[in-house]
Amino acid sequence: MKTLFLFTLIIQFTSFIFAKSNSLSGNRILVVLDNIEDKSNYSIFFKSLEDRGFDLSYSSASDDKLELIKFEESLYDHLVLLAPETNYYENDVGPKQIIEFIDKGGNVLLAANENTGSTTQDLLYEFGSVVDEAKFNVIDNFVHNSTTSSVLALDKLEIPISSDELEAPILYSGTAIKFKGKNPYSKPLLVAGPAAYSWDNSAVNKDPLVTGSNIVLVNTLQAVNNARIIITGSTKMFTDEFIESPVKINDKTYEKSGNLDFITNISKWTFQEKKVLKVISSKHHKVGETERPEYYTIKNNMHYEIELSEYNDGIWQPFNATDIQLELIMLDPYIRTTLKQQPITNPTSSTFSIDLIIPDHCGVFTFKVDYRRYGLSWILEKDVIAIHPLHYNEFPRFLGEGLPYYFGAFSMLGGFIIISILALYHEDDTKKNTDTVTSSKKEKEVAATEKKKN
Amino acid sequence: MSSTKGSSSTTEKNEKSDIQILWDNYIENTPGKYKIMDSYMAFIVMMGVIQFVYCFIIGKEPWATFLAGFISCVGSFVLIANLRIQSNPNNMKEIPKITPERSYADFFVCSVILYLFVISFIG
Repeated sequence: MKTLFLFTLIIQFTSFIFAKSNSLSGNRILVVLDNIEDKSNYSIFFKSLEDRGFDLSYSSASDDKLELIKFEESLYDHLVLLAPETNYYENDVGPKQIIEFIDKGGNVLLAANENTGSTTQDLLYEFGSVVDEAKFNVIDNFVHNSTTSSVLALDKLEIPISSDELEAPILYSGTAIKFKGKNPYSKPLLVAGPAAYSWDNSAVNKDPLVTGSNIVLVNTLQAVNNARIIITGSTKMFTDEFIESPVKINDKTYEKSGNLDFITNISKWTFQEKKVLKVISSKHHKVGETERPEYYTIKNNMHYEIELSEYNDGIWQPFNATDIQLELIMLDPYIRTTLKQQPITNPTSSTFSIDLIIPDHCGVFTFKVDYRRYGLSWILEKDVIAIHPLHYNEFPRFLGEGLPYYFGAFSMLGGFIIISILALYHEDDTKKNTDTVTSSKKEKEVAATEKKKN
Repeated sequence: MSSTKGSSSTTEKNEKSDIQILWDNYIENTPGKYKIMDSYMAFIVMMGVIQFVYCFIIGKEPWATFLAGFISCVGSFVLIANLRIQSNPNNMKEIPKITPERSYADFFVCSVILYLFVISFIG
């Protein structure tokens, strides 16, 4: 009994040491705060991250030990930036280094607030967004918590990266972020209601920077390398105070806000714990064969197949979709067709396939599946293969329809022979004609002899 | 009225007679060799038109074959027209450097090249 207890204890202990998060890109998180004391304000959020198996390191933005990239290597897999007010981070950790971190595949959760400093402003600018003036915050006189018009209570998400149904409204208090809308990889997740605007305590005397649903409260961005970034204008959203706060909106009251649920969901998305797509395999071959051929011939029947898997909370699942397209491209797509999902046989993946006829055009083609749906990781699967024309013995050389052409061509050839004989051996019998010809010949001869004489 | 009718008929007669004169002259003065060439050129034009119309009706299917047939007609026509002009002693004054032998040699070489292409295209 005692040994069993010891044994379970050891197992528990080892599992604690090797606790791994469900994140596919790693479990090292760096949390950057304005002051290290702020840590206690976000204790519930940090606790939830630790419970999910992440290894959190905390640092103040003005701490001289702050490091993000060392010897060209990212020291962390994810970055939580809750230090908007610090103007300059230590050790040159600034927009440039954070962008480099993202280029290396790092995921970033970034929060601004009413007193956003220059580092965070510049970083937001890199993502195609502008933050409103200092001391300005988002105000909505209709959709807010109890009587505070600057604390918004929202219950509608723009895109379903998070849980589709929120149990309680999300509380938001912070600055307005304006997106220029020029970044095709970014999309708002949570926007303010139609009556919202951004202003400080004074009376409104000109047009606010942004109003209504143009105010982006939480924005998602998925980079080309599938690094994920969340941008929000509220640090308060992550605080214990907001997570625990009851919500009273119009006549409805909720015991607890939906913040923790929402934060958990967006952080799971950001840290690659869900909605991650992976290509397991892709193959194509002629119908009736199994191997990828060296080349295709025009009008071959071919079969294309791609196997995809979706990752959600530690489990690889079959991915279901009806809109995955295959393109056969040589500069332009010659064929763009939708792949059909096959009945699922594997518990972790699903297969999409199609049989098609190679275009009647030879050249070097790219078979491409470029699947970009927001919220899911981008998928790009390419294969370059040549399409040959028919070999000389692979099609009938002489057709019945071509008979007049054959006759035309060979009669010309016959004519050539006749004209040759005519030109070489024909002598005219007619007197007149011969006269003219011979007379001219005689003239020539006479001229020649005269020349000789001379 | 009658006079105008008469005049018109006389002009018709005149025209007719002009063409008749031209034809008679041709028959009389052209060496038989060139007559054969001329009739052969008429045959080539006819073959070309037939092939073109045929292609128009049945469509582009044996396209290379059509090209071979049609281009052989066009090419032959051009080459024979050249041969006819250059080998004619009456044109000696205008093109004195080219002898009938030389013109035949040109015709031969060009034809061989043309028919090589035609035969390679035909199948």
